[in-house]
Amino acid sequence: MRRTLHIARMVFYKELTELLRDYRTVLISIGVPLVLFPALVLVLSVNITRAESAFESGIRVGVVAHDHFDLHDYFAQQELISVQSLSDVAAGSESLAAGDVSTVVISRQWGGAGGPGADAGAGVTLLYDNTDLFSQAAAEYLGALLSAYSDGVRSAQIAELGLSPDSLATLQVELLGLHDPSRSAGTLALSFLIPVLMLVSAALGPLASAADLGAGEKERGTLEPLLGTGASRSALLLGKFGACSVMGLLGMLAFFAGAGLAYLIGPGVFGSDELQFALGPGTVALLVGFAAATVLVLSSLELALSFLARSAKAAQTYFIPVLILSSAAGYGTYMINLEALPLWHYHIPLFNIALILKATVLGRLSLVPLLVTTGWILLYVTCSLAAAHNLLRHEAALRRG
Amino acid sequence: MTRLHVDQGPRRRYATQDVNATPAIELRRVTKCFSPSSPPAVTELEFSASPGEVIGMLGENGAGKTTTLRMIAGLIRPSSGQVLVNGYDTQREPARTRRSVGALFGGAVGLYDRLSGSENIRYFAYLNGLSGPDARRCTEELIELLEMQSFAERRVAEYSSGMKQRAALARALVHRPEILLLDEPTTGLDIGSALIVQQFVHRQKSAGKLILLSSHNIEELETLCDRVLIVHGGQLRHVARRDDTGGYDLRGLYTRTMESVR
Repeated sequence: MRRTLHIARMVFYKELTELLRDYRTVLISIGVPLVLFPALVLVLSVNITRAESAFESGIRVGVVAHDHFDLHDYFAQQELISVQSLSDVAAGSESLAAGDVSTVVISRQWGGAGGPGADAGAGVTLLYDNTDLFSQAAAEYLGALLSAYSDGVRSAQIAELGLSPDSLATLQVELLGLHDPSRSAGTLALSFLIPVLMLVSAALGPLASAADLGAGEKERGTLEPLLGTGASRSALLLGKFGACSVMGLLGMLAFFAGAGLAYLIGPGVFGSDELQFALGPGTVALLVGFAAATVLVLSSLELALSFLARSAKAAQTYFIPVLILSSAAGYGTYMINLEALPLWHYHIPLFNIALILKATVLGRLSLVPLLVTTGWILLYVTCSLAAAHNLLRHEAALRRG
Repeated sequence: MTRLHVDQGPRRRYATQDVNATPAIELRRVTKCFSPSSPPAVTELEFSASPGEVIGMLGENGAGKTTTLRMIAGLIRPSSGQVLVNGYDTQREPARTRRSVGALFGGAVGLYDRLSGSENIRYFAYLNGLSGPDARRCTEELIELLEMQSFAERRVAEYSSGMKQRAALARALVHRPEILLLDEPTTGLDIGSALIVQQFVHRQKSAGKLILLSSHNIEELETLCDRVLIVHGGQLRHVARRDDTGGYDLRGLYTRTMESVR
């Protein structure tokens, strides 16, 4: 046992040294996760800024107005809006398609003919390009303006009747959250983001290393001399598993560092500048522990698949379902109510880990699901390593692709 | 078509012998089939060899040379029969027999490109159970023996094929095995590197090691080997020995053997 651990340590140091000397592995495992989110956020921020600038420079609105409403004058008085009168709906569609206007406002007369849905009664139709985000945003903005306009008209009409507009007010509903709204929104966002990010990064982090340490050894012809030494298969496997897991953890760390950096670069992209991502030290410690466990599960699985494959290329093909399942497990926790969740959900591989991560973020971790999932994690790692060990013992391990 | 059985010696029981009397390698009716649908790669092969001998294996591609060497190295299992290394069965005592064997297989020499030559050698020393100081000393000795001083600290990715072959030889020898299995060790090498390898084989023979060498190079086998096993279709067809003058007519023997089996 002592000799096995000694050799495993030697294999671990050697594999880690070799992996860290390979700039491609470092780039894929650590570099890409580190810059992925900041790069995405930068691109999105640039696009958001561009869209905001476009809004600020003005929205071109086409109006097909009938006499009943003074829409043309109303929009002409608004800031940021330039109005163009159009003769009919067909002309409006043409202008929209040509990009001359962002949205076309069509007023409908009482029971009259005047555009799409004209027989539906009085109202306004907003015609916009639903394949263009700017046109969509402009339509939403105009919709809000029209609601305010409608309220104004209604109030004036009620006042003309000698009534107070407040006398027709309906039931006022107020939503009051239990927790600080900005903080609870942040926690809610994290309870979705952390399971997804952690599972995806745990699957991506060890990927390049696992491919290199298993199938890569076969491909380079280094597995044969390695298996020809006096070292036991268990020692070789333990060392490789350790190196692969460390690379996975570094990858995950890079992923979260990248996500944090992205938030600092462009918080608006995350939905609100006001979100507070506050987690207590206990929760963070638990998450770190679960992160390590998740990496161990996926490293062992990917290493076993890598020994099954005859070439690094084949190994990468085997990894695709693992990546898809990990992402699906993370996304699967969205809209899940943990309180009402039957225990059998915690028997589903990977999904149980995602559920535990979500429960940890929300501070709703219960003992039984935790024990069930921990048991499964131990079983996954043991089974994967046993499978890898068995593959290494078999002479087919030497066959190359 | 006659199958020759050579050097069978007295049958020994597993691990009950005086080690001095035990052949370093003994193959007992060894057969290897990779799949039921294809013919056996090796059929009922029998031979034994003692320390201090250099045994050659000569045959075409697919004759079973590499499979035989892999079975002796304990990398693959015989389908039937027994392979004994120093009296120990390679299947029952894999760790013990592997420590007695150093192997260099043809094709890719299997070095880690991102490590230096000396790091590669030292790593295999550790894997074979040598302690830190021992591993470093053995590595330095082999670097000197194989004239690798000028490039030992460079990464293997920068090596020529001759440099790689020397590093792979050093790696095979670093744990001081009593038996060396060399599968086409000079194939693809320039003349200088090939000569260094041949001198190395001579030195190891003088040191009392058993060397089993497969090659397509008849002149090389004539120069280096005490006996040459001519194999074809997975079977041992003939054993060529030096004549009274210490020479061989290996080319003639090989041609005649091949004519007789075709």
